[in-house]
Amino acid sequence: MELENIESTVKSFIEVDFYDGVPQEIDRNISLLQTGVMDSMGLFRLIFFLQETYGVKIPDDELLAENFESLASISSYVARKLGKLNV
Amino acid sequence: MSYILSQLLSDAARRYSGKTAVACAGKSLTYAELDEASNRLAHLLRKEGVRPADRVGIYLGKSVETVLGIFAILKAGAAYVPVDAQAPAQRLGLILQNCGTRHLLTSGPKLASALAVNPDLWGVECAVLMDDSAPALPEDRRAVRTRRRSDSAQESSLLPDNPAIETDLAYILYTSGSTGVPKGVMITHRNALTFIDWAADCFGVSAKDHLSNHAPFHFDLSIFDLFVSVKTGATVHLIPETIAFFPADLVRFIESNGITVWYSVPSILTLLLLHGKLAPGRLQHLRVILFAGEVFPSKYLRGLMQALPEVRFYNLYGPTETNVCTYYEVKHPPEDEAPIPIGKACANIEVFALNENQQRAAVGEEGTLYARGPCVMKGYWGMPQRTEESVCDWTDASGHAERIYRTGDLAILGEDGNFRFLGRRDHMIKSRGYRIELGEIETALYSFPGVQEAAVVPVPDEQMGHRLRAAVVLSAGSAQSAAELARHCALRIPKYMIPESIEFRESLPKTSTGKIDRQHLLHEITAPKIPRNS
Repeated sequence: MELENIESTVKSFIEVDFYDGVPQEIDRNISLLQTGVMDSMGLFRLIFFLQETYGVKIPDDELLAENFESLASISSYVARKLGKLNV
Repeated sequence: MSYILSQLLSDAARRYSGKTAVACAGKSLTYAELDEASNRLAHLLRKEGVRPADRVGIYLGKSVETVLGIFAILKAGAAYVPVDAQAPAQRLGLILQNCGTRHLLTSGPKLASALAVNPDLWGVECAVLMDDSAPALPEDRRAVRTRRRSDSAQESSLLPDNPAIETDLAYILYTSGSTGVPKGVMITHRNALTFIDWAADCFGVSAKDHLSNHAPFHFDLSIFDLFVSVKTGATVHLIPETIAFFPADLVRFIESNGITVWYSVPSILTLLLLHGKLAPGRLQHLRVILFAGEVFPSKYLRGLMQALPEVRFYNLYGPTETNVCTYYEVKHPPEDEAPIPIGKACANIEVFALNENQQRAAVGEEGTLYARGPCVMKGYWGMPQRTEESVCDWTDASGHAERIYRTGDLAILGEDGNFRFLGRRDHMIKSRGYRIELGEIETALYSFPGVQEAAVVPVPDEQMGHRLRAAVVLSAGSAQSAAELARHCALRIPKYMIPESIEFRESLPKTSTGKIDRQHLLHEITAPKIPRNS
């Protein structure tokens, strides 16, 4: 799956989950938690959503800030996971 | 002996000058550096018009500069007012206006976002940019002067004269207010030091210790991290917001910084237990875990204690208005699911429960918990009536009047001399350690055009404390959507207060006296049905 598709899916999840579907301008490189775009509860709902939507398993030792900090890092993490699945 | 907080740093700078005082995300300051830089900034603040007893706002995330800013404000003789850095700008405005803040320590990006909402910055005259950035500010920022922290480099490195005494305000922490306006809890230097002195002693904190700081600075758990470390010459390691909820990162943080004392809300510890791969042998330097802010579910506490058998565990209890007033050492993993006690009073504090007849409750009798002593706050800023409701007159055993704090918490004293927390009679709840007045959320809902009735009910949740659900009745002819209403709330209240779901109803269930029947509503709302986001 293309990176942009994953990114827009993640962005819509955040919009639906946190902003009741109202489109937001979210810089793809900013920290979602630090800037308050999302809070910790939203983060865990997002992780659950990614596992359901993409059928990926996110083990505890990949539950890292570097994988979930921003829209860019989340989508590249998911893309990497999917790449591994397809092999 | 220190009677104001800034003296703790001056003393530590003499005794531990080359030792690291504070570290965050690869940056650190020694005690000498922190002391000198905060002296210089205090002089700059004075030049910019900060007067003793002023309130100076802090709208910043975690960084060593934020800690420097806190000490600079204290050294200028003012009280610091930390505002949730993730809160919407409107809430920042309510707080700045409530306590008449004329100066604000912030960063370039945060200032730009606040000015976009209010070009007058709610009456703030001067903003000091602690990140030294030069933000692109809107043209119509009107009267707000900006200075950078680096402007203080030419100022004197000596401690400014400071007329503050122990009964003056050290900080104001804003907590959720039931009428929709956050309440500013006024804490004096004496209040804070009552806790700091006790905690440093009780947990044997020394210059060898490394403390973590997980709580944000507007949360009173941070008082322990910041000031007990400075009092004892220990090092405080600030946990950046970016990793604050990632268990593997937190475990790595604790290990790589050699953290010896940890203090947080229980929900973070539960996260570490469930996803942090804890086991005996991990977190080898950790010797004490303190938790406060909400009830720790016994099954998770048991798991944590079994995973970390070398660590001593303490349950700390107390509202922001008294900071910690009771504590309980959990010596053995709980055997059953009964909540652990909140324990006995800390040094120089008396706690007791009064029954419905305003008599001291007997052992085993339920009562409302009160605290007496130098821990009791001065009051709520600008809210004398609210203050009167919770800080009340009391006649002591010798017949003399004094002021005591009514916590509003129901408690029971056990045979073993320990208090146990039972719950509350009002509409204050806890969710992930955040203290939330349901009335504040309802006020936000009511302020939306067309909302006729609104109620928020807390659905108990094992890991989070509570989840929030709202039910709203619209006036005839209104056609608002839940999305619009949620967005309206997001501009007014922090994210942790926004209901997870908002449902529209024809009416809300009522009690015989015509009040909204929250118990009934909670029952209706938790009955299985299709959730909003599916």
